[in-house]
Amino acid sequence: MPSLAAVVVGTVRTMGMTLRAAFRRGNTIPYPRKKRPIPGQWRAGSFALTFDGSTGEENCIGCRLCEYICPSEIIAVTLRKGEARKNGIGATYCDKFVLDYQACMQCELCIQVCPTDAIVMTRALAPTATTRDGLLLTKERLMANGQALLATPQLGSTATPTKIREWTDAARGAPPAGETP
Amino acid sequence: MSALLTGWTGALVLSLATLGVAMTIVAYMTWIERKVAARIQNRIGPYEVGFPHGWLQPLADIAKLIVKEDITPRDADRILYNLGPVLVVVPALIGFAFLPLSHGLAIVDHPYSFLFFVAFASLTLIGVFAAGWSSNNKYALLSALRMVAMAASYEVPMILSLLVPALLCGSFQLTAIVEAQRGLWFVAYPVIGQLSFGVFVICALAEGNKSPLDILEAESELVSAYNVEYSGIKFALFYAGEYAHTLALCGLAATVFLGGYLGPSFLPGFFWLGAKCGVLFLMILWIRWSLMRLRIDQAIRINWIILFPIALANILAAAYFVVRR
Repeated sequence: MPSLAAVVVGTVRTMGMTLRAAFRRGNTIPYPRKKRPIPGQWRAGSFALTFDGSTGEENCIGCRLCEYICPSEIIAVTLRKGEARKNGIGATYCDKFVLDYQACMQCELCIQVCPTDAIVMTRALAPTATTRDGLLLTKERLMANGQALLATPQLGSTATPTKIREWTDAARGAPPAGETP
Repeated sequence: MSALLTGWTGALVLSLATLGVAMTIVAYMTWIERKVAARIQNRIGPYEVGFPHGWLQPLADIAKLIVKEDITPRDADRILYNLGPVLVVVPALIGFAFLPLSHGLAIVDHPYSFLFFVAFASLTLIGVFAAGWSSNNKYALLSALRMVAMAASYEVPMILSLLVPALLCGSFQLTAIVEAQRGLWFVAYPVIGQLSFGVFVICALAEGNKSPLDILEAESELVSAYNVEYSGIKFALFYAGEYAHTLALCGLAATVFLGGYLGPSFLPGFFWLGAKCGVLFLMILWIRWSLMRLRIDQAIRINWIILFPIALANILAAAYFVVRR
C-alpha cells in the first residue's frame, strides 16, 4: 500500500495535468469539412489506367499479369489485337478491364507487376460509392481516372515498375558502364 | 409571491416547472459531461448536431433512445424489471421538492425537509437493486450487490457529515439552514466545515457512482452496470436518474454548505443556487475524468478506516463547538 503522501501528491499532479489538458486545443479534425494533407508515402486509393503522355494512346497491352498476380482475384482482362502503336510497343490492347474494388485489399501488386505502368493507384482518400455497382471499376471508369491523372499526375501512386527500378538503382548506385542489367 | 403561486394550484405549477427545468438540466448535464471529458482528453466532444458546439446533441440522444427497440429478457422478473427505472428516477426527482430554490421558494417547506431530501436521494438504491436483481443476469446482479455494499457503507459518513450543518444551524429545515448561512457559509467554518464538506464530496462521488468510486459501473469486469439488460427508453431513464441523483447531491451540497440561494442581490436566488451547483458538477467531472477507479475492497476500506472516523470526530467537534458557543 503506497504512503498517504504519495497518494495525495499523485492525485494533485494528476488533477493538475487534466486541468491543463482541458484548456488546450483539441486534436480533433472535423473530417469531411477539413482534411489532413495526404502524406507523400500514401500509396492506396482507387485505380486508374494511364495514357502515354506524348501519343495519347492507352498504355495497357492486355498482358493479364495483374489478373494473374491479384491475390483477391478481382481483376479480369481480355486481350484485343489491333493496329500497331506509335510508340512501338506492340499492337495489343485490353478489350475489357474489370476491377471489383469491393474486395481490393490495396496490396499494390498489380501496379508493381505491370510492364508498361498502365495501371496505377490514385491518391483518393475515400473512394466510396453509394451502390455496389459504383465500386465495380470498369475500363471506362478506370480510363476516366487516367484522364484525370493526366491533368494532375502528382495524385498518382508512385510504386510503378519504372519508379521501383529508379529507386533500386539509386540504392545500389548506377550500374557500371558497358554492362546491361 | 403572486396569487398563482399559492395554494395547491401554485404547488402544482411550481412542481411541474421544477420538474421541467430539472429534466432539461439533467439532459444538458450529459452534454456538459461529454464536452468536459472530451476537453480533458484533448478532443472536442459532440460537435455536429446543432451549430455552436453540438448543443442539440441531448435532443438527438433522447430521440434515438426513444426509437430504439425495447427488450425484456425472457427470464426477467417483468414487474420489477419495468419498475426499476421508475424507482431510480422518481426518488431522485422528489428530492428537488424540498430544495429551497430561491428566497422563500421551496415547494415543500417541511421542518424536517433536510432528512426527507437525504432519504429520497438514497431511495434510488432500491431501484438500482430491483433492476440488478430482476434482470436475471449475473453481471447486473453483481453490480447491484456492489452498489448496495458501497452505498450502505458510504451512507454513514455522508449522513454524519451532513449533520454538521444541521447541528450548527440547530434545525432540520433546509430554508432555516440556508438562512443561518447569511453571515458565514458553513463550509467556511474553520476545520469543521471543510472536513465535513470534503467527506461529503467523497461520499457523494460514491453515491452518485462517479469515478474514482464508480465500482458498480466497472466496465472492464461488469460489462456496463446493473443496466446491462436495459435498452431504449428504460436505459435513458436510468441515465437520467443517475444525473438527476448527481444534480440532487450537488444541490444539497450547495444548499447546506455553500449558502444555497444566498448571494449578491442583483441576480435572483435560483441563479446563485444554479451557479454553485454548476461549479460543484464541474468539480465532480474534473475528479471523475482524472482519477482511476478503486477496487471495491479499497473503496470500502477508505470509507470505514478513514472517512467514518473523520466524520464521527468531526460531528463531535461540531457538537462541542455548538455547546460552547
